[in-house]
Amino acid sequence: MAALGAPLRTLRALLRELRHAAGRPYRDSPAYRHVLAAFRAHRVTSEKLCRAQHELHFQAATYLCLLRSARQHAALHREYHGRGERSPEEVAGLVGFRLPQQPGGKG
Amino acid sequence: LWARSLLARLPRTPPAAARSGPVGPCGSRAYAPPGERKRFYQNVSISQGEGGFEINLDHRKLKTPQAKLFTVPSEALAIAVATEWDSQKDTIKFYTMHLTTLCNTALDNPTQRNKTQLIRAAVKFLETDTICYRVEEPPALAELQKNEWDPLVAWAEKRYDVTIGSSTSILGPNIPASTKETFISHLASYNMWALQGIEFVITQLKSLILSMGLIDRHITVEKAVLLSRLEEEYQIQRWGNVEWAHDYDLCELRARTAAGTLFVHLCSESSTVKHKLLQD
Repeated sequence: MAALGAPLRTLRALLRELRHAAGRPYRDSPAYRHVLAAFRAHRVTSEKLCRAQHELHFQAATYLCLLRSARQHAALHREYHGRGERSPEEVAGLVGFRLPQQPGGKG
Repeated sequence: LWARSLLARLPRTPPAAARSGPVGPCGSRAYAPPGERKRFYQNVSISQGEGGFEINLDHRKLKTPQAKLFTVPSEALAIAVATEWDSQKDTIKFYTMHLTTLCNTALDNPTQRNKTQLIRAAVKFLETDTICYRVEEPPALAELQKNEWDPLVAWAEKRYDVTIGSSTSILGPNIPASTKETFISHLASYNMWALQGIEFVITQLKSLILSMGLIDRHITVEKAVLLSRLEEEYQIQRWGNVEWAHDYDLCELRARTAAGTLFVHLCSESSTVKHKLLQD
């Protein structure tokens, strides 16, 4: 069985990611409503090892992973790969160097 | 590639604000790198058609790169695809829209493979499965592989009643024909869409066993990706992490694997909610 943690935690994190993903009216977005409806529907169960519950939780955790890592990947892409050519100062800065300053320009 | 074809297919009726060159002379225009396109639609919605669920960008229906109507069999999948489109801000970043890409692949089948070929390609990976391919040097890595990968191999052998084993030989493990047959007939129980997803996950993780672990919900995506990248993680621990390479690759692999896994599950279940007998 996959180590998933508490379903409530996954749900909260997933809703948070959807808030980032959707536009302004995020509470009305189809994804938000669908996720909430799915969790509510599976709440009413007395079995401890309800297979459907585990399946839903796994799906939610997977979707959470997708949204989160896609967002992180896009941020990294923007940061490191999306800005065209860098100046020599920026390139030096990437590996922790600073360009030397020589009075009167380079020899 | 898909991104560019998709752009060519969508009808060219640019709303007033969308017309712009990639590099504007004035500072107010954001730089849109090649391969991206400005968001040209306001609203994304879903509708149900004859063939399944469709995506609407304003009044236009989304189409595949080969100009077929974009229809998906699962409402949840359609909602997730719509969310991908709706979450694009100024520019459409196709390289982040993994579910859309998977649906396009399933609808267009660009590699023209049938079910048998897909299954064969998937099972062939077992011969070079990452978690069966072991090193002897350095001892720390060999130990790590044994501790982290052996349980997964054992799980697969038990779950599917097969022999797989592992090997330090350059030829890889010797997989018995009966093992391959078992996996072939197991994969045959999935429909074509789900199989596209399964084959995608296998090529991302470079492992059939890890992929089955995901499909069977035995491990999470994060764990599967970690196990797939075990040697990389070992080297990172030793030599340090480089964010713009390591984290970049990690996030991309996680996103793609998560998309593939979700895609498989959404395409192979019925979306009706099963009510308990207590409720009327």
